[in-house]
Formats: sequence, C-alpha cells, structure tokens
Amino acid sequence: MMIIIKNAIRERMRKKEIYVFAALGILLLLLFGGGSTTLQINGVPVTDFSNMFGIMHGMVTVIGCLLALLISLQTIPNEYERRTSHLVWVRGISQTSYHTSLALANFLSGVIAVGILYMALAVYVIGNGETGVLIRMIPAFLILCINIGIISLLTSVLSIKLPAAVSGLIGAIVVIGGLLYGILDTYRSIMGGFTGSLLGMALRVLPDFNQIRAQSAAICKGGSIEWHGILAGLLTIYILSIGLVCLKRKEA
Amino acid sequence: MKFYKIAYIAVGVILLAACILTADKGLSQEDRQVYEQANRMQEEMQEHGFRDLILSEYKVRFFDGDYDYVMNGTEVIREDPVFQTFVGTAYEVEGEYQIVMPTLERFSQMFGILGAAGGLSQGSTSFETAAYGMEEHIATLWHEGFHAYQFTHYEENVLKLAVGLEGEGNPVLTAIDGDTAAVSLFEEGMGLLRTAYYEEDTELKIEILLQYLDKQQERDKLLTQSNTEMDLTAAERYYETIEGTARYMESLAYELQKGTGQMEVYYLGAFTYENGTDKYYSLGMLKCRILSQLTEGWEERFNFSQGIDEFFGETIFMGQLADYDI
Repeated sequence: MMIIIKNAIRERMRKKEIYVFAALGILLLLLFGGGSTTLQINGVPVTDFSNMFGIMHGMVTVIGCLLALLISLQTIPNEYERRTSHLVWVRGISQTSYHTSLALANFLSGVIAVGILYMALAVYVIGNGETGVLIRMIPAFLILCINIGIISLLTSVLSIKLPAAVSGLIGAIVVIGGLLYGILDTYRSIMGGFTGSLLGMALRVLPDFNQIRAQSAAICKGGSIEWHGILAGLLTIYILSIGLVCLKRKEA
Repeated sequence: MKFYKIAYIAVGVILLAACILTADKGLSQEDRQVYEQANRMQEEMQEHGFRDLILSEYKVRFFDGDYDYVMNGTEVIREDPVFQTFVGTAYEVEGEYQIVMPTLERFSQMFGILGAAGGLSQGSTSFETAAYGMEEHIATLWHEGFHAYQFTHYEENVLKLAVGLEGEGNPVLTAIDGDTAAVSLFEEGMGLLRTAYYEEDTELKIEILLQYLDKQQERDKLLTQSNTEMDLTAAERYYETIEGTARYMESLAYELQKGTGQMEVYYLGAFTYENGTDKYYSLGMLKCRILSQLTEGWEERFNFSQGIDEFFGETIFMGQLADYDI
C-alpha cells in the first residue's frame, strides 16, 4: 500500500500544471502582501495586517481547494487507462485497498501543494513580525486540510465510476458551492418558498468549506472555534470513505 | 480484519454523535449580549427620548434563518418563525407586539450580500456594509422596539395616519419620486434642515426652519395639485412620522454607544435623494433631533395623533418653544 501511495504522489508531483497553479497562487499572495496593490473596502485601503491576513488566508483556501481538485481528478482513471491496475491485482491487493491508497496519495499531494501556498503565507507573517500567528498557523493548517481531504476524497470516489470530466465538473460545483455556503444559506433564508426549499436541499448535501475556513482563520487570530463545522467536515470525509469500500470498477 | 471493521464503524458512530451533540447551538452569545446591552441602556434612553418606552416589555424574536429565538428577560425559547424571511419589524404575536429581527450573524451576512447589490437601500438601515456589528445591531433593536411601542400604546393614532396607504404604498411613492420639481424641493428642504441642525445661533436656526417650512408648503401644494387621485402628502407624513421617530431612537442608541461625532457621520452624513421610503427616515429623524435641540421633553407631548411634520411646524410657528420667544 505504501509503495502505491509513494508512486502516486511522485506522479502527482511531476504534473507541471500543479506547479504553474501553485506559482500563480504564491505570486498573487506576494502581490497582496507586498503592498503593491490598492485593494480597498468601502473606500478605506486595506493595509493593516489583520485585514490582509484574512484576505490572504481566504485566497489560500480557494486556491488550495482548486489545487486539490486538479490533483485528484485523473489519478484513478489514468491508472486504469494505463492498465497499471493489473500489476496490482496480480499481487493480490484488493480494489478497496488500491483505491484507498490512490485517494490517500491524492490527499497527501493536495496537502503538500497547499502547504507550499501556506509557506508563502508564513513568509508574509514573518515579514510582519507576527510570530504568535505563525505558531497558530500550524493547527490552522491541519483544520484547512479537512477541506483538502473532502475534495480529494470526493473526486477520487467519483472518478472510480465516472469519467474525469464529469467528476471534475461535479467537484468544481461542490467546491464553489461549499466555499459560498454561508452566502447560499443566507439567500435560502431570504428567498423562502420553492427556491428556498430547493437550495436548502442542495445545502444539506454540500460540505461547508466556508465554515472550516472560518475556523482555521479563527485559530490564526487566536479566537474561539466552533467545533460543529470541523466535526461535520470530518464526518463528510468518513461518509465519502464508504464510497471507497463500496464502489468497484468492472474492468478489475 | 474484524477489528478494523469494528474500529471503522466505531469512528463513524463517534463522529455522528459528536456532530449531533454540537449541532444545536441555539442563540449565540453575541445576540444575547445585544439584547442584554440594549436593555442596560434603558435608563439613559429614557432620559433622552420617549420616557414611557420600556424595551424589556417587548419580547425579541431573533430569526436565524430556520427558527425564531424568543428572548424575554433571561429566558430564550426556540419557536417556529413568524416570518420565513429576514425582516426587522414589530409584529403582533398572541395578542402582544414583539420585536422581530435577524440574528447579528445573519444580518451581517445580509449586508455582505444585499448591501453589495444595493438591496438594503430601501429604508432599512443607515450603516455601511463593512461597519455592521454589535453596536449597530443594538441601535436596530431600539428602532424596532420603538415600532413595538408605537403599536402597543398608539395603535389607533398610527392607523389613522396610515389611512389610504393600505395596499397602495408603491404607486404613491412612484408618483412622488416621479415628480422632478417635488424631488428638487425635497433636496432643498433637507439641505435647510441640515443647516439648521448644525446652526448654533437659535435665532438663525429658527429663521432657517421658517424657510424650510415655506419650502415644504410649496412642495405639498405641488404634490396635491399634481395628483388628485391619491393623497401623496398623507403618505409622506406617515412614513416620516412612524419611521422618522424610530430612526431618531435608533440614532440615540447609537450616539450613546459611539458618541455624537460617530453618530453624525452615520446618520447626518451627506444626503442623497433615493426613490422609496428611505428619505423619510432621515427627514423625520432630523426633525426629531432639531425638536430636541429647541425644546426639551417634546417627546412627552407627542402621541402620534398628528404627524411629526405637523407637530414640528406647530412647535416652531405657534411659539410653543419653552425657552425662546419667537
């Protein structure tokens, strides 16, 4: 299992588009943090650390979620396409173990990629002399990894049965919906009626990435956290993991 | 293998239980603080505003998008919502007027969504998107609390002021906002009132106010002549009185928390004419503030049997000011 994970991570790390994406993310972070932007809220320049850190932390979350999606999208379909899977079956490894290993590899690759982005954020924090925040960023990163885990696992599970394009589309909808969860929930309450009910049903199945991001940001700021959002994220990972046990490919 | 299966199931059960146990958060600490802090301001608010308004007499229903959390003293009860959407108002529930408003968290989110889209410009609030927090929510609670007071103590008078408005509010406002000459006179009138508010010399202040009353008379005449089917001026008087006085109380609550300077930034900043009811909130509030500058305790004589406009005009014209000989 470890060999499968190691090989899969190595392959993920060879993908050029991941580095391009991560580099763009770092560039964007440095642009914001370097003071070379004139971003304003309500006419007031956002230059102080607490404002800028919040914005940059949000950016890391969005870019990180998209990176995790990109990384996980083709792992399982590619394995089957290249018939690598047959080399695994002859060693007596079950489909569940194989898929779990690949999903874990996707998750760890996502964590590494987002970790690189987080390092850029850490550079900004050190530059501002906020060492207290730097220490709190470690548990905050672990919380953020729940989002990465959900996306990696969802895309991996979907790609067992669906073509990469379809699972990518579903993953993208879930990422956008999950990041906008708070806004969508408020819209649901404002609208009411049939549309509100429909949106309410969609929100029941959407993971609340925004809540997890908020808890991660709260840790960085030294504020109190709401455990429900974090636990709900972990439960989502658990439920998705059932897909790894239940879903099988025919060509195996 | 069996051990792994049991462990896997156990993890799921523990996670599910933990989620259920942490799910029902009820009313947040912030909203409880809003309620408690607003009630702690009771004495100071009574000194400055309507003396028989006791905020704690009214239950507050905080709507979180799913349920109403009804606060009454230290008691909080979860109930089905009276409105399935976010509103700030006073509403009759089981024979008593209660204050209905969104939770602080929801209201802040609404500012993020609707404020950016311009959806909160219709009279509902005077705060900027990024500025809405606990102090602002407390001020809003006093605004809605004042509506509960209006309907509880002066329902008959309030309904008399609203005659002719039922079901036809929007055509009336459309007719008013469509009259460019009337719009221009309104803007000029607001300019005069703002100048009067900041004028320290009382004689000059009164002079400016008399100019304003002339301007308003001209406007009323114009609106009456331009539309004989609807009573446009009555509609204006209603909004100005009901919402203007509530905005006045809201601004007092804000002033007590943030100081006069900050209050003037939010409530008396540059005026821009907007279609709809928002301008009447500002107009009525400004008149209340000028009345407070000129005659202390005017609130005790005001009982909604006439519009704030009429009361304002009478106070200035008929020499009812306690301290000044006009």
